[in-house]
Amino acid sequence: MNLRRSGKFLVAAVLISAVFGCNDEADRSNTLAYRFMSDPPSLDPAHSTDTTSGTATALIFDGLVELDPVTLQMVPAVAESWEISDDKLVYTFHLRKGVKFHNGREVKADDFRYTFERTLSPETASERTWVLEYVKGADEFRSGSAKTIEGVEVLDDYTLKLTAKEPYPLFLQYLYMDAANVVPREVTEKWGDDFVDHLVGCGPYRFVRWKRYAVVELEAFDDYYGGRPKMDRIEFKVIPYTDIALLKYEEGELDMLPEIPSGRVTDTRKRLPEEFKSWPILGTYYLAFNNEKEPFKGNLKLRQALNYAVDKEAICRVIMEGVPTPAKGVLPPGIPGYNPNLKGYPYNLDLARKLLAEAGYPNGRGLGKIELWYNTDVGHGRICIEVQNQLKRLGIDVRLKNFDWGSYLEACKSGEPIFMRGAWLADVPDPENFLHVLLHSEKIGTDNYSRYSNKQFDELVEKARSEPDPQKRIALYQEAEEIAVAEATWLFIYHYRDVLLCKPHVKGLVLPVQGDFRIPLERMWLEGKGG
Amino acid sequence: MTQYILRRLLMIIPVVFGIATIVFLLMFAIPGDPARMLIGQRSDPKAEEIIKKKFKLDRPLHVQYFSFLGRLAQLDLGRSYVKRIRVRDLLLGNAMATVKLAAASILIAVVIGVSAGIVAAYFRGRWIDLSVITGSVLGVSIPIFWLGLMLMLVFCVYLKVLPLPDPATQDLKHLILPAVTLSAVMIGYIARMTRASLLEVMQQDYIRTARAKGLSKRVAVLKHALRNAMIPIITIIGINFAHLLGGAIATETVFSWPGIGMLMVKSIEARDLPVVEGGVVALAAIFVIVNIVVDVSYAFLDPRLRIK
Repeated sequence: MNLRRSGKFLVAAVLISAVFGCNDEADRSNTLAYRFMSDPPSLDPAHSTDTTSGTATALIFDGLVELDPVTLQMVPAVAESWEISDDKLVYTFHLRKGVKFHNGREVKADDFRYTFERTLSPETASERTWVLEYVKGADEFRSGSAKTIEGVEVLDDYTLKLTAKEPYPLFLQYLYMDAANVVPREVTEKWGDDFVDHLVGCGPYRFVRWKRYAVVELEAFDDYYGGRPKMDRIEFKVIPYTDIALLKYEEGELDMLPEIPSGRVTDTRKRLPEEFKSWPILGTYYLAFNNEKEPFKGNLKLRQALNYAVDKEAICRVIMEGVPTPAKGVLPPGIPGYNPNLKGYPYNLDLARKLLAEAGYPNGRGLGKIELWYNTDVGHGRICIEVQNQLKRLGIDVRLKNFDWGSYLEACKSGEPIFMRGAWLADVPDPENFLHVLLHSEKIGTDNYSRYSNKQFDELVEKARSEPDPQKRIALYQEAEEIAVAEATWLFIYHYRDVLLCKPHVKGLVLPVQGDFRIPLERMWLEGKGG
Repeated sequence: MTQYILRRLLMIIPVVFGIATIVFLLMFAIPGDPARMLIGQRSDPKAEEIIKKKFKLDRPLHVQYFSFLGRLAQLDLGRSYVKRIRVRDLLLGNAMATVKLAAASILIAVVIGVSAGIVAAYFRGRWIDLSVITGSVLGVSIPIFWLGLMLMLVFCVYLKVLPLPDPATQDLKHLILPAVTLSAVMIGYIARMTRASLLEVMQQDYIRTARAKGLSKRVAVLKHALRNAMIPIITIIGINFAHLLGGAIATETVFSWPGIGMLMVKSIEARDLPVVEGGVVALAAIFVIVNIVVDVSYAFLDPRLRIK
């Protein structure tokens, strides 16, 4: 080989290796590999709105308080204790001393004041300002008419006083959400919108890198106030195709897989019984009847007939492979106020036929075509097709229409569809998060897709919101739920259960009712991985 | 030639302007409010209003349009509504993965496709020709999803000679399977085009003359016919390469390959207007440039075109 040729060869080799890189074989025995189904929209706590982002932000950032995933009680985080005034208006938080941001600076009460102002500021345009909407003066601040938030006072470096605009039972719960997690002013102001690539919090894990649509990497924060996490690193890998994620899990390249491909749950459960986890989470899947449009408007018997005609047990068993539980009402098991005595609408085709005739549509005659709208997704498609088939037995002609999420969301809120798929996973474990958000008449045009309006229901929910006695509050919510169920405002389908695959070497797993995104990864450890 | 290239480069301006206008109007025509999409399922009308104001979505359409064109003229693609970072950074972040995949796929497709086409034309009507035609039809028809999964099962799971896809790594080992999968369709097109083009050229008088002068069939095909048959082949390669730079969503999804295709699809779903607009405009410009390169390459292949 002459010099010129060997030179060309060398240049080509260098270029190829520079472009395609080399695979580093670092020690991964104390690194947790976790799958993300999609790229997180934002890891900035002021913009984190979804469960994927929440999985990572919960590790990078901490707030005043935390929700215990087992007891569902509020527990200390950066605040080691707090007092609530008798009128439930003033919350005084005492911060731990020595809590550090990842840049080494101590977290002080003023950082929380800054964080709340940042979240509510029109310049930030946060998607989650409602988290702080019950703080006195929050509305004025976010609309720009006030320069400070009236209800936020820094008493000293370690004492923060928050005043609520009215007594609200979920005031404390909202403070554990991402948008209330503390951020350091000097870092957010330095980077502005690019903070998302230079994240600094005070959580158990430090941000390392985020390669969009590929990977988010975190590493243990040595000075974490709760003690250094046992796992050195966590890698969230974006693997959109669930079958490939399962393949990678089975080949040992992922330690935890928080979803199993549709149609492969039964088989996976049989093959990997020790690694398969399934647990109830706070979510309900339903089909909403539009109560403002014919034929469902004012026709209770028709809504009840459809409820009795759909075999929810079969949907859960066959379509959902035995994972969820059939729904009898609005509130899912595990939430305070869940009513196990609700009868709901058990499958009864004869009763359904009778009610359909009484509703004015014997054997579906005269009812015409009913359009069932859903957002495009294989799972939703399967459920809607099954409902379509089951209602055919009653002589009801259901036509399916599917849309992408953006168009669908817009349509549901506008009240265009007469029959539509809906689902809700609780933001906070409280019945108010279902009954007020999804069924109160003031939410028509937003989250009350069924456009349900019942004065008695509204009054009960409002009364419960301001009721200080927890037991009386729950009783009011249960009464309200009974009304919504009796009025068959939805076709109740199922209550969610999450599924997860977890390798035996992953220890300390806790399964939270909020869903897999709230698994406290910082409490877990690896034993004998790669050994 | 320089004048010709400059003239063609200037054509990018009206093309980009036209594309930008179409994309801008299309994104506003489809239902789905960007501010509402950002907030998600739980509504907050007040926050929606603030977000609209921040991103100037509350302004009349024509004001938004001219503001968009103004930014574009300064090569400023704006910031993503969802990720909140610069669109330019977002596109560049994913561009390398796409370029790697597109370049490797086109390389495989050209080597295999052109060779298969030559062999098929050389042995026209024989079993080898039939095999190439059948193979190329298969390549064009096999769904990419299925092919990708099968290749993965064979090479990563059973034979264990290649690694499973890993979004964090785009090295050579991880590139082989997505590149082969993506090239399957192109191999089919290129092989068929090479075969047809070569057969046409082989009928020309100058090839008959060359053969009559005693040149072997192999030399006549490779030295004389192939070069003249290359123009339609180069066109196909150029168009395919430009398409690939726009992303190959099916391959990217199956192989967890963080390219432009995935970014664009997710941005359309999220109604992330700046990313969609910026991405399409950038890709349109690249498409035009690739086409110019293809056109210029004709002149090198055929001196007659150079004189014209």
